[in-house]
Amino acid sequence: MTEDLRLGLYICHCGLNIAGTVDPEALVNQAQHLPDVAVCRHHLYTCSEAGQKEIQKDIEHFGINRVVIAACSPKLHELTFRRLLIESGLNPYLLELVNLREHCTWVHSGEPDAAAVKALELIRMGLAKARLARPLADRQVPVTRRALVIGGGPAGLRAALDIADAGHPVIIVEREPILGGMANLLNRTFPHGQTALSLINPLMAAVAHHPGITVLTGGEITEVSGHLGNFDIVVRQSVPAVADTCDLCGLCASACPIQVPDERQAGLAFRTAIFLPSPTAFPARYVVDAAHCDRCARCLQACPQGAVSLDFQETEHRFTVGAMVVATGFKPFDPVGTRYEAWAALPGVVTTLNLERLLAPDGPTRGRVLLPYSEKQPRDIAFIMCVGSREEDGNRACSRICCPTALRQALELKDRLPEARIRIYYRDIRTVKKDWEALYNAARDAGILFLRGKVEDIQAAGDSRLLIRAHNELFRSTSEDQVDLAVLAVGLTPGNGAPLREVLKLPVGPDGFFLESHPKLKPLETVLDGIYLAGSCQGPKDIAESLTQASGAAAKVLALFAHDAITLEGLVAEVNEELCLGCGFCAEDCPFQAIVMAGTEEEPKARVITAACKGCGICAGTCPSGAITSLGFTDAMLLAQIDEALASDPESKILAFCCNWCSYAGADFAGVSRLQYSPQVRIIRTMCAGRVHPNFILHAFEKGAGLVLVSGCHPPGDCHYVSGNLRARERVEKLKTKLAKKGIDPDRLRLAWISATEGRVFQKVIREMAEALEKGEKTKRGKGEKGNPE
Amino acid sequence: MTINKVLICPCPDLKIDLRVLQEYLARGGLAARLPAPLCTPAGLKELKNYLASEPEGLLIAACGPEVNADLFRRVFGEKAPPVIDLLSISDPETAAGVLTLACAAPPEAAPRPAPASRDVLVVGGGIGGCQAALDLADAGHRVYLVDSSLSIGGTMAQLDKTFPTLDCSICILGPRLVEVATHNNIELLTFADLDSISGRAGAFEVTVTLKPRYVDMAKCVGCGSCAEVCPVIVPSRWNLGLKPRKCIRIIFAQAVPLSATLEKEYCIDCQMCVAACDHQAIDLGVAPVKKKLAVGAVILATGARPLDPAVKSEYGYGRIPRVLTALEYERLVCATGPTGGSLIAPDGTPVKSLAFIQCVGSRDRRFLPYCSGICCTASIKEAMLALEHDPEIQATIFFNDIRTSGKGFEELYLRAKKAGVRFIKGLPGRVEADALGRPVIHYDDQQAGQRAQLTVDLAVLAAGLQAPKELPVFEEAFPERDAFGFLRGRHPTLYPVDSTLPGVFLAGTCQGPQDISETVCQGSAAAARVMRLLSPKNKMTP
Repeated sequence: MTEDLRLGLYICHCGLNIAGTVDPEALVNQAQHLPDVAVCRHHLYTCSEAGQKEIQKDIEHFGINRVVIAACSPKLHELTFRRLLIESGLNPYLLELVNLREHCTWVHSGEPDAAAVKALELIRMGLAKARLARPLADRQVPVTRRALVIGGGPAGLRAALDIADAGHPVIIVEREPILGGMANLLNRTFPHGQTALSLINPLMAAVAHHPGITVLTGGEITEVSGHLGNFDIVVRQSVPAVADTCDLCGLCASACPIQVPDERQAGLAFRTAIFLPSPTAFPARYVVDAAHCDRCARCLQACPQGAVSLDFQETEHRFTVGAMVVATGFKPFDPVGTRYEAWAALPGVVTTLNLERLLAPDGPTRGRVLLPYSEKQPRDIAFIMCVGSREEDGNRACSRICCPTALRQALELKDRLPEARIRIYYRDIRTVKKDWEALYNAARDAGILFLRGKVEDIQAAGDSRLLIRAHNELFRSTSEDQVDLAVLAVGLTPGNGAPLREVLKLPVGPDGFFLESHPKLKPLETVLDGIYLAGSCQGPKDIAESLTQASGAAAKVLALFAHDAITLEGLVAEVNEELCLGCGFCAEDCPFQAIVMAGTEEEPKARVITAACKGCGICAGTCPSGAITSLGFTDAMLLAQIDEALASDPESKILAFCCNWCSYAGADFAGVSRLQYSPQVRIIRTMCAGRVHPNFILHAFEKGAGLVLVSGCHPPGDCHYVSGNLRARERVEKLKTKLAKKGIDPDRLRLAWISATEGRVFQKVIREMAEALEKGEKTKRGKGEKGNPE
Repeated sequence: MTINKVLICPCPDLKIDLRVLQEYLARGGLAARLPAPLCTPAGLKELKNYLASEPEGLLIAACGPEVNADLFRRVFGEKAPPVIDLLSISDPETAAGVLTLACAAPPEAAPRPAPASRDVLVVGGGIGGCQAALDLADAGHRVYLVDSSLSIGGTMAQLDKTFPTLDCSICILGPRLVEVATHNNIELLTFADLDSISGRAGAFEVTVTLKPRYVDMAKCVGCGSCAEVCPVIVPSRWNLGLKPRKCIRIIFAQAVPLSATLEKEYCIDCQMCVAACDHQAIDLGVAPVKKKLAVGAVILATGARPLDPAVKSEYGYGRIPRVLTALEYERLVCATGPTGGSLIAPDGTPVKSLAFIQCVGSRDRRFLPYCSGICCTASIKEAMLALEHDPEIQATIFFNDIRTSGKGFEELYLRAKKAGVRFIKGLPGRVEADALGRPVIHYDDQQAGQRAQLTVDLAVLAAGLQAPKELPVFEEAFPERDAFGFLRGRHPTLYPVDSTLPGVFLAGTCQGPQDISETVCQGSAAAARVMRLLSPKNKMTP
């Protein structure tokens, strides 16, 4: 090596987050004499302007040519410091972050001595990797200035309008035959009581008539490939059975002999198999419910326009977009299959959504609130809050909008039926927004009764009345009451994003809603660049909040579309043709067809298509001859990290390879949650679990590693590189047989799937491994073998 | 052109009886028809048919542009009939009058001049303003970010941790601030007063006064040697008076811009700092500088402020030193705060027990009739922080309702309960000091059905968020405020971040209490509305 290595090492206090457990000054004293370290400093907040300036100055004054920052997770500040290096005239890839906070001080706060030892070793590992860092070049990729909006509810409509009004074409894909989403089922909205029609229809109409917006209703996204700036999308759309010439005369429906419960009317009315999904939504066109249609073709004959066809064809749309807004919304909690099923089955029990239909002029009762199977109006009404929310088992989260929804409905009922006795069984009334509290005040002023407690049971009480038994939280007593109408305030559950989740590879949180990139500062972004979130697919929200988020997501898209090209990372694979054997394993394993076999027929050679390469390193993880270099995560770098991690006391170490997207983030999450685990673990980050070459594991065991963990995203679908986790599994399983032959206990190698939100799983896996290690040591000692040298 | 036909959209939200209105109009010789609601497919089709047969002489009475999303212009372009807003009118007589007048002198569609400038003014450098500025700057707009304080960062910079993840606030905010300061498209104008805003959407003129720092920001390196030698000690407002500071100082360690500032009213002109500065950055003779800006749009992100809990005198704030506000407590537990992160009472003794009192001012018809939204979760977080300092601490939260309804908030509540934080339903009646100066909290124990007392080392008041008193000076028309004094969205549901003044947008708590992530969303949303407005391809009205 000709270049003179000059490493700058910066150790961050992060207030007390790091300095509260280990002493950064002591670390500086220990680390400043390590080979090639030219400058070594500590700072209260390295990421602050002062901290960054200090590094910049050192680069200028001392000719620092590699920067190692021991602070927090690279997920937080890798970009920040890369930018700093660029501004200081250094290549941004000459940076290494050592994750002291999430992976050490937060998770070993109870063991400061062990944490201090670990911190120094983590720093040594970082230095070892940084010594081998080479400058890399970013790639420029042109941006396709067209956006995809998934979901045609309020959030999707607003996002599409904001992007299209600014001059960029938008494609909306909606699963249902009409736009409008859940808003179509609402009669009035809180807090101001406007009809959903007057709020959503102008947006829907504007989208339907916008020259820059293409609406694909009845469509489903089946494939997404590509990346920020250029996503290739495949949409499967059922061809509408009724053509655009439909003039809504309704003769087809009158001719249809089939009657099925109408889901729009919450099953409280019937519809035909050919039907108008909503009298007010766009596009206005009759649709055929293929599942119930018996192809009698009476509608065909009845249609004066000849607009109906019963072929039920599907068509496929393929297009490229530069960015996506996911606005797939929510589903109301369904009591069926839960402990509420028996309640919901009682006559006289409805959900808040059913009640909305009963109150709607176009609802099954034409807007009259009647008791089931009668023309009588209810006189005793109870609302039961938190149905499907804040549960001990099940959804623990609050659904946020049920309180204002129920309050508004209770007020409307009180207004229509002034004689009715209305009470609300609640746990906490959560009218958290500026205009919502007024509903609560108005409800109390109107004489609506509030009972703090949990409803334990609802039973039929004869004479079409209901007996409600509730536990009063405050007085710890049980009360009973009879009503004739009980309204279950149902919570929000994640929308129909499940199949989409697999197509997009978008992570969801423990609550099932799509996970934002950072809960505070990146609420609209996802871990996938170019995919943004809007509305209640990210968590319960009201319409105003959804529309705000939708505009916010549009801002991200518009900022992206302001540029001709975007920059992609320089982390790609390279082939050394001299070493390449031409076996083609890499081309087989590459999920992106980014490797082709070139060269001659006798002597094939792998070649990387750089523009398609995602830098996962799956190819390098399979190459038998070491011909592939995964830039930024080379074999030499990872081996150097392994050597440093196992330099002292290797038998007591757990070496953990964690993929960048899921398990490394899971370990970060364990840190954020302050979940304590054994300080014996040393984490090595790879982009994908598929990067881990069996040779790394063998090397680790040769060096005496106690245990090795390979960890990635849950199979089959969570892997951010399609199938890297599956490749990792194959390789680990194959290696286990090999280990046994070599006399190494295969149980010392473990494979685990840990998602970005599974901090607890990470903690559990490490705890189990630490226990196994201790047990192994004990048995060894019991057998009189040489145990731990100390 | 005379108009003699009115198409009244039978919007279900109209407050007037349309049959009566029809009669009134008929008496005046105006033919009024009621089609299907005009924003539905059937209504639009009817309108299309009308316009096909009689393209002239038609007036639409419907909702205003803040609801109808400019629908008629979108669909019919120049041929769209004039539209009169009926939603705001509640009696048929007034409606008939308005419509008759409009038929005689139909309102002309205002021409939409191309924006004179694509630059944007963002007022307020808190996290909402920063987010808006960054998104706009990334989209190629030049942004002037004006903040009255010495550093951007707003209230978030003063917080110790953020809920629900207990992330260190300045750790996540700091880099964002540096990003703002180093962005090529953002010009940072800190320590600046906004004198006036005039003009219209697309062409605003703005005057700003840059107050003198007496330190040349280009020369200052933020070393702090000036503060070391300065002999004048004053209370630090940034640490809410909990810690003294020098007359010349850097406001906080992560300040952006990182530059010292001298406060002239306390300066004794000893010139020691001038001599101590290696970079000759200090000049005690500089004067304020006025600056004129021309921008196409304005984003107001001026924030809210906590209510002064002294007005709720029964809680003893201001009288009992051990009664603090939530923000003071945040400084107290913060590693960079006045005590270096030690949780101690004002007399220096360690805190072994503390209580958080909710709804101080909020949900109180005497002060703030609304819920401030953030205090419950913030107090739970603060109780958790106390337990992080010392797991033996007794933490009690007095509440009315626990309102942890954001994403991940309920989990935090459950975690706090499990960690031993005590939750008592009911707000205390009063707080008094015992002989040792410790707060004694008098409350109703609703479960036991009797009055009770709790003596703690520290009482923390969750003061509600209040609308800002002062607003930027608009010369001609003002953005409207709501009944509470917060800036009002053009429509509470449909356009929450568009102010009532075209070209002026809102982000963050100036519009009502929000938490950080909501504020960030609003910052981005306001940015999108500006991008849309100033896009050369946009044909819609603001």
